[in-house]
Amino acid sequence: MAAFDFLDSFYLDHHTRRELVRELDGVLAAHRLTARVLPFYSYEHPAIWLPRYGRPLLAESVAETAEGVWQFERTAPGYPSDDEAALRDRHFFIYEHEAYAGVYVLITVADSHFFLDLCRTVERRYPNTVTTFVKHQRLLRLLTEFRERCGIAQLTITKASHRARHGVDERTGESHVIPSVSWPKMGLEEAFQWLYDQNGWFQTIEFTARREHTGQARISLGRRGVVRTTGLFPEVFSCFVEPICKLIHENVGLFSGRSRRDRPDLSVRPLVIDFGVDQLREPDERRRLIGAMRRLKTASISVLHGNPYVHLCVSDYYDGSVFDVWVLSPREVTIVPQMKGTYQAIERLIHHIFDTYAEGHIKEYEGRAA
Amino acid sequence: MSAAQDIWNEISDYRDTIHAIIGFLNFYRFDHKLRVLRDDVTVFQGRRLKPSPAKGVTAEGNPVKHVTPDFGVMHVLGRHVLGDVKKSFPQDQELWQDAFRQLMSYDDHLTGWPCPTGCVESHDVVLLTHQTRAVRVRDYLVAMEAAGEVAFERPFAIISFNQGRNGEEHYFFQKQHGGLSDKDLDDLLYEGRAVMMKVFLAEYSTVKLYDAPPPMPYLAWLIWENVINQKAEGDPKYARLRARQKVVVEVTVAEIAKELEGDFSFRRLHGDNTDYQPSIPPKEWCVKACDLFVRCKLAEWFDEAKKEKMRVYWRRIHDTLDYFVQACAEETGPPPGQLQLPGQSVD
Repeated sequence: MAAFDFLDSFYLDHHTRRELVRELDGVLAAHRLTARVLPFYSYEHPAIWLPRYGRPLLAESVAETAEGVWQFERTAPGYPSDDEAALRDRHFFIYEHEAYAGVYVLITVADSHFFLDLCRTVERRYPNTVTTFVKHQRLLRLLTEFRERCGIAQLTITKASHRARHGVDERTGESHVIPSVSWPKMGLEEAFQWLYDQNGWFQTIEFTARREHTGQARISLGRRGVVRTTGLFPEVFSCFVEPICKLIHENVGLFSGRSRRDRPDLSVRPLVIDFGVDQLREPDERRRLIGAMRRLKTASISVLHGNPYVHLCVSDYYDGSVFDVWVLSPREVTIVPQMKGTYQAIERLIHHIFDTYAEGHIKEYEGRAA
Repeated sequence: MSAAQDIWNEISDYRDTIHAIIGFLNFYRFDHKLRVLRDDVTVFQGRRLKPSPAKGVTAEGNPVKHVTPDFGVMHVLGRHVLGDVKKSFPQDQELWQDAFRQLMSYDDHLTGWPCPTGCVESHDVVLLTHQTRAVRVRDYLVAMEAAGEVAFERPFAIISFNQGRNGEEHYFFQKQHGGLSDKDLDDLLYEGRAVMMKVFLAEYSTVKLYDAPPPMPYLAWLIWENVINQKAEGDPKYARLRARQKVVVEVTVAEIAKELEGDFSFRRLHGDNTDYQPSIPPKEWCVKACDLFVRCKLAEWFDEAKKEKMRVYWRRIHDTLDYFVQACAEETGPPPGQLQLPGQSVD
């Protein structure tokens, strides 16, 4: 009972951003709870649209606590884990990142069903909200930095949901991504190298982190930027959530304003995916890329040229964005947004290429703009 | 060869022609020493020029209102150029003379150049042709010149081009015959010069039409993705559309022509239209593409006789270009069966 009182008082307090992060750590330790965090980008403040979206609610309260931290309490029927305690915990916090305009952080210690429902609510708000994707190598870098900066003596991957990019089906011309889950009990570098060798990427990675002197946590980090932890919250927040917020902010800057119609002279602003090696030198590789692109079910893909150079036209079914996709160099794919090329559609296209073909470094096109 | 294969080849030729024009014009537009685009060079495509009185009548006595070279360059140093691109020539060499008659019509004191007087003192005449044809075309020209059938007063050159890959994708240009008045460029093209395709990516992505009628499936695809799609996207149902659902869009032929011209023609390179610079695409091309939509049951005319405005039933088509290619192939030939797209053979 005392524990619930402590949680109640936590919800009654008017937290600033910093207090929220610091004090949540105590809540996790006292109640053996898991904190779940979703960073995302939104054109409008979620306090405006969140009350209108999601499952039918029994009740909802929304209040701004302090420094733009919004606390929501919502009760919805039908969750499998419904009981009185669960209902008490259906609070969540949202605030806009102090440095990155439009980037929001959603935090809750409620159960996973409730959190997934919130995630779906955010996704349904598309195109006004966008989450992100964390590349395989960046994921490794985040984990390595976490281990080094936070004095983690032992970091063991306990469960991993991963995907392997496979070759082209000769019959259909389509490439495949094979999902699987494993419990590798491997060290960090070993697990990443193993998956890299399989031409794969982690969808979600779960691990235990034990500090040298005190503190341990079960942590999970997803490719879509979702973070879960049972402890070490300030460290997890600093090493994972903050960099993911920065990544969202950088991607919004990089992918926005690319439509030709945004520019008075209708010129193009292409983006380049640089694989760093001559990835597309062989015809089989170009065929594999085309096969991977054809798997994009949320767009129309027209192949204008397949070999030796590749020229595709991608027309996004969600918002009508149109892109020319070119392979004119063995190490690069160039994306040219046409009259409409939204941030969301570019993000979706690049994410698809990374998921189904290969990951690369995204950069500005350095050629001439017509 | 199947009907669909023929269409894919036509599309490939059409796009190669645009790439060749852009690549060749770049030799004049780009300052190789300063590594910048020159602002004192004007290029144009599909411009109508008026012949001199001496060449204003055909051999049959018919008046020639204008000639329309595929490309032109007005150079600040007087190294002006007019030329045509003929990627392929017919098997029957008897028909080749038409191409040279056309080129000879540019060998004239033409008016309508994009300058205040409309005239230039002299200019070169250039034929761009694919490397696989270049030697035979050159031999043909030499024979015809010897026979007195073909003659040029102004500098004339045959420049071959081909698309290739030596590390990076490029177009390779090489002089096969004659000479250009720009000595530096003439020397450069004597040895041959590769221009990297990725340098022109912006032009390739914004210029998709020139003044020759494109293959109809290609134009239909361009309209569907860039005009109809953009209008349909404004409908709230668009993002949630299921396989058999449609969004109804009303569009006029004039709108289609205007949008394509503004977004995908050479107009961005040569500026606004004048009497000498007609709109590309003309409405007649767009009407033909819209007729294809009607035959595919994707649209219907408000007035079948006028063909000015139509109601389009936009739906998701996973490979739009292939859809229209197959539709046209079925109209013109037997079922295509297993197809290998040109430029898609990777063996």
